[in-house]
Order: sequence, then C-alpha cells, then structure tokens
Amino acid sequence: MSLFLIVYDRSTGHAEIRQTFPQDRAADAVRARFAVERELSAAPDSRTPARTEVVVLSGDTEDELRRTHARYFASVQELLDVPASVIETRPRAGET
Amino acid sequence: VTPPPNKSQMKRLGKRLADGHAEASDLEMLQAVLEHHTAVAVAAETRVRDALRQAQPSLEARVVSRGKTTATLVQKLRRETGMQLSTMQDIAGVRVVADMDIAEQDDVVRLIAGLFELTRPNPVDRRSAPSHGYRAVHVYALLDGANVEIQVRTWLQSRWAEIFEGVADVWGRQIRYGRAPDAETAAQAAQRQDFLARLAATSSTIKQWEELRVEVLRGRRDKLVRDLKKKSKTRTQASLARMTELRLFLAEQDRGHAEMEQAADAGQARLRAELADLAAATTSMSDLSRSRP
Repeated sequence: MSLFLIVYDRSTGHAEIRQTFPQDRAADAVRARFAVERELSAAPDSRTPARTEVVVLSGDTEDELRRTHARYFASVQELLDVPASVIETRPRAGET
Repeated sequence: VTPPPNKSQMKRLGKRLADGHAEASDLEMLQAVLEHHTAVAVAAETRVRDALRQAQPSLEARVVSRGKTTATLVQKLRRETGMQLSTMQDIAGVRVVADMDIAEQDDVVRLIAGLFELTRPNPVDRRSAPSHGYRAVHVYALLDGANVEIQVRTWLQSRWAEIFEGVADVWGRQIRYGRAPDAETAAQAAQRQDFLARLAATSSTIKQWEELRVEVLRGRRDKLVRDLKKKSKTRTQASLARMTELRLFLAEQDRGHAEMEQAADAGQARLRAELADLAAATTSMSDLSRSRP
C-alpha cells in the first residue's frame, strides 16, 4: 500500500504522479503536497493554483487509483466508453 | 508530526480560510489538520479493505483514501452557510468501488457501518434521492477524533460520478450544485446545458437498470428454486388436481420472470445507447475528448 502525490491540471487534463510514499509516511506525503501548493501559488500565471488539483491518494496499487479516480487518467469521452460486460445481467459464476 | 489543532483553533482557522484572510501560519495549521486526517483516512481504508477481504473474498473491491484538497475545502467553507472546519465530515475520505449489484452494495454498507463509531444518522443513501445525478451510499464515521466520509459505489455509480467530475473540471465545478456551466457564447451554453441534461437522464437510466438488475438476479434464484420444486413435486404429489394447480401457479411466476428479463434487456440496450450517444456528442467538444498526455 502506498501514498501517491498527484498533480492534476484541470485545464489540460494532464495528471502526474509526482512522488510516492510508503503507507506509514502520510505526514511526509502531506508536507510534499503543501510544498507543491506553495510552488503553484508563486507561479507567474495567477490562474495556475485554481486550475491545478494537488492531492494525496492512498491505495494498494496505482491501478486501484485509476479505477476509483478515473478522471485524473482519462478524458470524458474515454470514460463514456463503458465495457459492455458491466451493463449486463448474465448470472455470475456459481449462480447457475 | 505536528499535533493537529484543537476544535476551537480549527473553528477560527476555518473562518479565516473562508474569509480569505489566511496567513502563512494558517496554512501551516491546515497542513497539520491534513496530516492528521490523511493518516486517519489511511487507517480507515486499511480497516475497510481488511474487513471486505475477510467477509467477502470474492468481491473485487477497490478501496482508496484521500485527504480533501485545499481548494475544495476552502470552497466548501465559503459555499455552505454555517459550515465549520471542526465539523466538516469529509476532510478524510475513503472510496469503495466494486462490480456489485445494489443488494450487495447494501451488504457492504452494513459491514462498513459495523466497523466504526458513527457520527450521524447513517448511512446516507443517495441512490434513490440523487444529488444532481450523483448516486452512492455514504457512511460517516469517527476515528481517532477525525470525521471520515466513506463512499460506497457500484462500478456504474462511480463511473457516472467520474464522468460528471471530469465535465466539471472543464466547464466549472459549479455544475455539481446545479448551476450553469461556463460558456463563451450562447450557442456553447445551450450545447453544454443539453449535454448536462442528457448526462443527468443517464443517471436515472442507470438507477432504473440497477434496480431491474437486482430484481432479475433475485428472480433467477427464485426460478431455480421453482424448478427444483417442480421436479420434486412431480415425484411426490399423488393428487393430479393439486399437481395441475401447482404447475399453473409456477408457470405464472415464470411468465412474470420472463417479462422482467425482457425489461432488463431493454434497459440494458437503452443505457448502452445513451452512453454511446453521449460519447458521440463529445467528438465535437475538444475539452471533453482530448486524450490525456
């Protein structure tokens, strides 16, 4: 299990996993998050802080984040491409 | 680790953040608040994941936690009258997403609610009464002196919410509270309103389909039981009249089940078509269709 410091630019859709931390270093991850926020607030373009999301997510793997927080990693059009298998009522294994 | 501020310090900090009068020392204090809440969120995430693995090993649940971002925290303090930092429920958050039906979702919610001290009437079910299309079940817990919001979502509920958030990222986060999207021209405003109305309609279609799906699955289980009864009664019933009566009753139940299966098939086709139409509409909207670098 790890903590992922993600910097996400809403205007371009670009998300970067800036740093990862072990599970027991949540305080370090948050300090790194606030350091990035301070950097952004000093950016020459005053719109930068408002359009940038800086977040620390914790999960088993990066793949978990991609599933639970998919908007950081895919466009709306890509998210609308829902796998057919999710929208079906076929019985699962063990039910028949 | 910097100790988190006490309740009255948090109350005053929240007021300064909301008023826009926060200084460097306030941001240091906010950092201490987030350090504590993020550690608590991780502890809650671990507790939820371990409990799900033990109680429902076949359920492929994704469990992720986070501390609230500074921007959304400040926006919430400004948006909601009377909101205080010390009582904010979602500074620490856990999200559970799984490919499950809504009956299984209820089981997961009950399991999670039993793991924590709860802070308010729980759970909050936003499936039947969605918030601007958002559907999920939330559990509000208290752990190590911090409030934790635990969101439990089916795969489709989560995907819809992510799509809506993704749209809000580029058209303005105010759409999450039912307000009009940003737009440069009247034509663009109309196009965006139309897209949002269709997206909201799709949330209703997902709701109908999820409710039908659970009925169909339940119906299939009942049908299996009926089939077993038919076999067993054929062997054991001596009275022909009683057997005929029973067969008629079971045939009627089967017809009801077949109609439900047909309704679910229709709902499935409708939902797929709505999602495909929305995806097609995004091809003319570069902000929604550009690939992520």
